[in-house]
Amino acid sequence: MFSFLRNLFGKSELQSIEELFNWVKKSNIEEKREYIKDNCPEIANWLNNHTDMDYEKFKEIIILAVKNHVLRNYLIPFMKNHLGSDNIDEQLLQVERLKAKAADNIDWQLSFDAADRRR
Amino acid sequence: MPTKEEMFSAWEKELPKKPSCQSLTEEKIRLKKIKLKKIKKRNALRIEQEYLTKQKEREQEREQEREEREQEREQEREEERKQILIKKTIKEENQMLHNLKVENNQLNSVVNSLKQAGENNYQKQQMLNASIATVKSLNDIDWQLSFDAADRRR
Repeated sequence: MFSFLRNLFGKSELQSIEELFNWVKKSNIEEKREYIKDNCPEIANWLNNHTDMDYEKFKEIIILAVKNHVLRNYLIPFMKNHLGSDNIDEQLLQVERLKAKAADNIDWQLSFDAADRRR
Repeated sequence: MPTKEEMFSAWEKELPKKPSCQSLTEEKIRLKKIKLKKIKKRNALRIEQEYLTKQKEREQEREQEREEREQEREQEREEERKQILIKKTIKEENQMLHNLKVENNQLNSVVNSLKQAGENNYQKQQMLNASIATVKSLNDIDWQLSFDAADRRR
């Protein structure tokens, strides 16, 4: 996904988010739990009140909580930020106008030359 | 368990037979009667006492049984409360998992929309670059034509 995003946005700050995603993939449950303690106090508190939970469920909740936090706080704001600033439609319109004007200029120049040659 | 009256009548049957009146003086008979009365009274009291003791024992047994049954019921209620709490906790855990899954789906959907928008922008950017190059070429041609025309006029 990140090579795709890099192609789209080509921004160097994407690297830190990519590193974060790699960490999410490779880190173990205890490391993820530490991340939750530092970044999601509500879920950390909830987990403290459910210590007898089935381990598989516990793991799934931690993984999803970390993923959601990273998506919500890093990747999505980054994508929104870089999509909103480009304003490509307006630029396209301006360039199309310039193109039409340049074509008109050539037409005018060619007709002027033809008239010139006839004289 | 025999009743008080039954026990009393059983005891009366076991009493010695009355002695013959001819062999005893009146006084002896009277004393004997008093003694017999006392014995009867003592025995009645003893029987009464035994009856009361047994009744008390029965009541204690019944009380103990009641307490045991109450303890059993309390244990059952405690177990029921535990089960309800476990069910409630599991429900909460499942709800949390469900909420996180829903949130994850929503976030992924937002990412996909943004990716799509980014892809569209990328294509527009390519078009923009191509258009800029076209404008530049057209300007070059225009410049070349006007230069040629000026050259011819000289």
